Order: sequence, then C-alpha cells, then structure tokens
Amino acid sequence: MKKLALAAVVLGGLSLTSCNKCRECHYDAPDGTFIDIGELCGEELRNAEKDGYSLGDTLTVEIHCEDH
Amino acid sequence: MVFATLFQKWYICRAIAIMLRGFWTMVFVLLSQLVIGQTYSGYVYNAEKEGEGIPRAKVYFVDLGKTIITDENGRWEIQDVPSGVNHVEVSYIGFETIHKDIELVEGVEVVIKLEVAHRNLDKVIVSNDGYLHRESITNIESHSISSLTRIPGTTVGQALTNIPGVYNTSIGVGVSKPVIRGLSGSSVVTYVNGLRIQNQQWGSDHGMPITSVGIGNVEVIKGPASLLFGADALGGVLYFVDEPYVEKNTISGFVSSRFESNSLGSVNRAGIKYSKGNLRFNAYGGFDSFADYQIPNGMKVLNSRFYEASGKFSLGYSKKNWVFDLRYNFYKGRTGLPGHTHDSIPDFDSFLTTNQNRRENVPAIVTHNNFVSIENKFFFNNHELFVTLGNTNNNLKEHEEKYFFPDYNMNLNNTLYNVKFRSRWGRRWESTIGAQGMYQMNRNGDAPFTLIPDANYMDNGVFGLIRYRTDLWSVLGGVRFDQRVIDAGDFIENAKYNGFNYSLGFARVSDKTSIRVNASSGFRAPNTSELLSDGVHHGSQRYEIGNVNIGTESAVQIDASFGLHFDDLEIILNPFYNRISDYIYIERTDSIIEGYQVFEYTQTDLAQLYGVDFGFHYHPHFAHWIHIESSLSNVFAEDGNKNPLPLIPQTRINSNISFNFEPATKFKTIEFVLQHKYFFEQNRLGVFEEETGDFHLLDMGINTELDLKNPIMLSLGVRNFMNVEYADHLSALRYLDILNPGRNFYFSIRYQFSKQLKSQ
Repeated sequence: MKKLALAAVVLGGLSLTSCNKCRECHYDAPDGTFIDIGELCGEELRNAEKDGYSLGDTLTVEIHCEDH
Repeated sequence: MVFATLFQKWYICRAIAIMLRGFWTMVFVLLSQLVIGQTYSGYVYNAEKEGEGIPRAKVYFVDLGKTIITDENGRWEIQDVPSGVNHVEVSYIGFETIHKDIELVEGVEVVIKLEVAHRNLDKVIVSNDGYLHRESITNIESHSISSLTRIPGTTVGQALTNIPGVYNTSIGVGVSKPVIRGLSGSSVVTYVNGLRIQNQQWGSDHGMPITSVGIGNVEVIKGPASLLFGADALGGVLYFVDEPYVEKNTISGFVSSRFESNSLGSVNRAGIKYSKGNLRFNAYGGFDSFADYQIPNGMKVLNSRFYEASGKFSLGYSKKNWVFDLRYNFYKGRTGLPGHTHDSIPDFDSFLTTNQNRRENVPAIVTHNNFVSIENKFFFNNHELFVTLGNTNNNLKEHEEKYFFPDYNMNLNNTLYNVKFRSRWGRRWESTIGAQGMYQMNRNGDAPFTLIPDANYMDNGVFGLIRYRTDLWSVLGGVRFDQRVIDAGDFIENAKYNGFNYSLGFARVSDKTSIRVNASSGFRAPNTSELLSDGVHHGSQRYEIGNVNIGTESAVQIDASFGLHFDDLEIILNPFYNRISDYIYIERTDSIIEGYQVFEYTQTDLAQLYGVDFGFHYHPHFAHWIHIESSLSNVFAEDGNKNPLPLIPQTRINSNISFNFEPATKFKTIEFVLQHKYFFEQNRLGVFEEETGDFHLLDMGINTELDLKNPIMLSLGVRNFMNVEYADHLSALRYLDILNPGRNFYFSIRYQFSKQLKSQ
C-alpha cells in the first residue's frame, strides 16, 4: 500500500510539472509569404502572442507559431 | 348529549391511539430492518450438470454495489442487505453472464443456474439484460468494454462502432463522436452512472468527453428514449457503467499499457480497488498520448496528435437498507485539429508531413472536465428510492492561432438531480415514478470571440411507468412531461419548450424465440448554438448562423426485433422506423463570411430514418472453439420530399471469427480474432455532399493470459491489415482528401493482482 501511495505521489508530481514551451514562429508578409522569426520560448512567446512581435521600434506584427 | 360528546372524544382518542400505534409499528418495522442482521444464501449451479456448484462464481448485486464470490460448493451468502427482490449479475469464466431478479427470503436458498458459454448466444444485436432493462422494453445493447476491445480501437468512441447501429463521426483519430442510427451531436445523450454528461456536443469537433478509464459496461438505447432520459434523447442514449467494486475484504489492482505503431501512441492505465467492511473504493488513472497518424502511403497527417489524461474515484458505503456512492471523474485533453490552412485555396499537400510529432500545436481543442455525483439508494421490502445529485463542469477552449490564448473559451456548468421511486406490486406488477432536472449555465470566458452567448437552461421533468410481466410476456408503458426554459439575456428571455412523451411496448421471450415491439417518443428543444450562433467555428472550419425561430423537434420510433435462439445458432432481425417532426439540421449556403463558408441552422417539417440491424452468431457443436458472428447495420434518412439527409453512415457488415484455445501450457487461454468490416458505397447524398466509395477493412489480433498467481494478459494484433486507402463517409477530413489511418500494429500488456484482506 505504501509503495502504491508513493508511486501515486511521484506520478502526480510528474504530471503537474510544466515544461518551458518553445515554438518556431513566423509572420505573414504583405505578399502572402511566411517570414520565419525563429524559436520563441516561455514568456517571450506568451508576450509575442499577446501583444504582437516587434520588428524594430515601431512595427509590430501578429505571429503564428503552429507546425507546418 | 353529554354521553354522545364523551363517546365522540373517546372515539377520537381511540382513533389517534390506533394511528399512533400503527405509526410506531411502522417505525419499528423499518428500524428493525436497519438493525437486525439477516443472512441470505443460495447456490450457483452449472445448468448442464445437475447439482454441480460453480466455485468462485461472482454474484454482483447491481443496485447494492456488492459482489459476493461463491465457495468451493458454489454456495454464496450475504448479510446486511434488504430482503425482497434484488437484481443480480452472475458470472464465471466459461459461462454466460446472466442478469436476474432474485427474491431474498431468510432461510430460503436461492438457486441460480449458469449456462455454459457455448449454449447461450444471445448477444449478437439485442441483449436486454443490462442495467437499464428493468425500465425499458426497447432493444438495449449491453456490452462490456473488454468485449468491445478484443481488437482495441484507439479511443472509446471507435470501440463503440463494434456495436451494430452505432457509428462515429471523426476529425482524424482524436475527435470521435457517436452516431446512433444516423443521429448524433445534441440528439445523442451520454450518461455515466446516472449522471448526464454535457460537453457542448452540438459542435462537430467536440468529441466524447470520457475515456475508457474505470468503465465496465456500456449500454446503448437506439432511438428516442425521452421517457427515461428527458429532453434531447431523440437519437439514442449511451449509458456508461463503472466497473463494480471488488468483493468484500479484498484489495485488487492492475497496470496496463498498449502501444500502437501507426501514431506511436500509448494508452496507459492503472487502477486499484479496495473493500473492507461496509466501505469500498475504486481509483483509476489513465494517460493516452498519440502523435500524428499515418495514412497508407506513409505520410503523416499534420496536427492529428492528441493526448488525454483522466482519473476516476468512487467511494461506496452501505448499510442494510442504504447504499451511498460518491463518484468523481476528471478529464483533461488536448486534441489537434488537422486540415488547417491560412490559404483561401487550400493546398492539400500542406495537410500532410513526413515528420511524426506529438508536440502541442495549434489549432487545438483543450478540454477540462470535472464530474461529481452523489448517489443514495434506499431499500424497503417492495420499494426502492434512488436519489442522485450531481454536477458536471466542462471547460472548452479552442486555440486557433495562438498557443497560450484561446480564441473561444466556454464553460458549461450543469447541476442535476434525479429522483426515482420503484415499487413492486406482487410478482407481476412493477411501477416507477420519478423526476429529473438540471440547471445549466454556459459562460464565455476570457477570449476574443464568442460563438454562442451566455445562457441559462432549466430542465424539469416528471415521469411514471408501469410494467407487467409473466414468465413469457412483459408489457411496459409510461408517460413523461418535460419543460425546458432558456434564458439568454437580450437574445432570448425565458423561452419555454414543453415535451410530452411516452413509451409502450411488449416482449415475448421463450427459450427458442423472442419478439419485442416498442413505440417510443422523444423530443429535443433547440440549444443556444442552433438558436443564436453567429461566428466562425474554427473547429468545423465554417461560419455558423443560428435561427431564433427554430422550435422543438419531436420523434416517434417503432422498433421491433425477432430472434431465433438455437443451441448453436442465433439469428436476430431488428427493423426500425424513426419519424422526426420539425427536424433541426445545419445546411450549407452559398454565402461566405470572413473567408469561411456559411452554414445556417434550419428546420424541416419531417425527417424519416429507417433501416434494419440483422445479425447471426454461429457456434458449431462439432467445434466449440470457433465462434462466427456477423451483423449488418443500415439506415436510410430522408426529408418529407424524399430527399436524402446529409451525414448518414454507410451500410456496414461487421464479421468476426474467433478461435479459442485452452492449451495445457503457461498460456491459460489463447484467443485468435479475425475481423472483417465491409462498408457499402454511400450514394444517397445531402446537398453539396460527395459520394463515398465502398471499402473493406481487415483486422486481426491474439489475446492470451499467462497462467500465473497474478495473471498477465498479452495482446498483439493489427488493424487495417491490408493498408487500405479509405475515408469514412462521416470523416470531416474526407473533403480535404485526408484519409483514415493506414496499417496499425498494436501490442498491449496488463498485469493484475488480487489479495484477500483479513476480515474484521
């Protein structure tokens, strides 16, 4: 019974462990082509999805990070 | 005058005294039932050998949730349960499992006889011996999950398609929705142990919200069943039943894992059961992970990956006349939606890839479910009271473009009650009255889009049914009234939808023949999706528009079955006719909004669905190790002008040959199963629908059990052995030229143990 409880705790702990999410992202150029911007991870990815990805000081673009 | 007054007072006092005496007598009788520990007993015999008891047979008292194991003479004994009629399921390896009502009387031995498995073939199509049969005379399919997974499907939805008349719509492998005789979505109601499960099932991409974790049986009612299940049960009911608790003073457990080659998938399960004294619990966990699946040419379908984590916990406690169960289910799943493109003219090749990946991606549906229920059962001599209270919460997020931020975020909270009072009136009559209801809230969470508005539902229904039976005949009839109130703020204010439903049928079951005829009605009030949708539904890749003028749809089905049962052959014919008035469906239009094809909900005066399930099971006497089963399922659907309705499944023949051996080796049993499915061409097409050609599928598998103290079960097999290129008519991906999975090898292993605990 103790072994089972221990196994349950370990499994539960593992299932709650979160990974640092990374994605290959791109944005759509005006001519319809995809422009790769490389891999974004964690908070950087979250912020880019939320507020847009900054290209220079003034231009912000919407990014897509799904697998193609 | 004075004498008269005194007499009157004396008479009143006397009457009160008699009433009080009667009251206290009744209280005493009830209390005595609670405190006096009576013992009831009986035997389980081999029906083919007079007086031979079956040791280790399992006698499961269904309503009480208690399991008793017979001793070496086949004798069983049970204490602290109510006297009178109890429903039991009796089983033992090599014998046919039976369901039976037995009457417990102290000092009277109850004799139960089991037929050797090769004798009884009654399960090809109709098996009216499940948990629901006492309140329905219509044809109910009852199957154990293990019997549906002799060649396992990837998901529980696919396993259900082994049942005649049951199909599934799909988006790849991860999204699977049940279709019963041509109807699906909101028309099919799902229950788990008396708790109705809701998951925005109007959406074609919102798959079944449960896994097979901890599920023991599934029962299917095909056709309208509003009498017992209320609004929406128009197409049918899926009723999942948890595995029973383990027998008293026992602990048992298992660990299992299955690997599938096609999508590098794994299905992992673990469970533990414990019972001591009056307390018992079951606990399970499961985790399934699948990468993108592979089509026959070796390419992978991009973003068809998915994973599911689920858990289940049941706690039971019982006294003599009271049974309590607390049940909790958890589910979290992330399902990729294949066939995604940004292009206005899609390039079909972009839906496929050479890399097989299971990394989380978008678009995807992320689902969290929490289901909790409290069941109380009270038993009196000839009466039973069932009270179930529950809450289900379904959170559904659709991620279209962004990994962290969903485009849609819907939370569906449902609080339910279910009260039922069953009475027996002598040996032949039984009645049930009850009330069911729910309060449902749909709320849109933090997300930029909404497809349906915030809304509240209130359902209430009352019903009554009565059953008469003799040894040969059984007649059942019942009526029900329901009301649904929908409040969606400015859009719909307290709109009321009423439904009056009935069911009437008879059955004549003898050793060699069985006849069942049943007429039942159902109704379905429109849901907020059908009334108020207005937006892009990315999961379905379309713009959906509701219609506030849509009203209630109602159906009447006549269902009959005729069975011939011989020692080695069974034949069943089960025709049906389902007539739906004011049928609600979604229709493709020629408009485009925001780059998506527009679909509008609409209603037509009449729809008719009719067809037949036919099957046979042959088990020759000269070769008891062979079973040959085959079933044909077909359904036609058309509107009042005889125009075919869309999304109707292909006619299907499902055939199985199994060979069973019991070698005197380390392998206790070996079962070899060969399964062939033939899907007919579907050329009865709805508007803008495309024809689907016919195809054959061949699956095979070997199941074996190692003869150890703690047995190990091994399975090995292959699905779509011929690597056939096909796309099912109900696959949403066939319009994108995306095929169903190719050849798929699987291997599974299961270890289980059981240990007797010291009795108290």
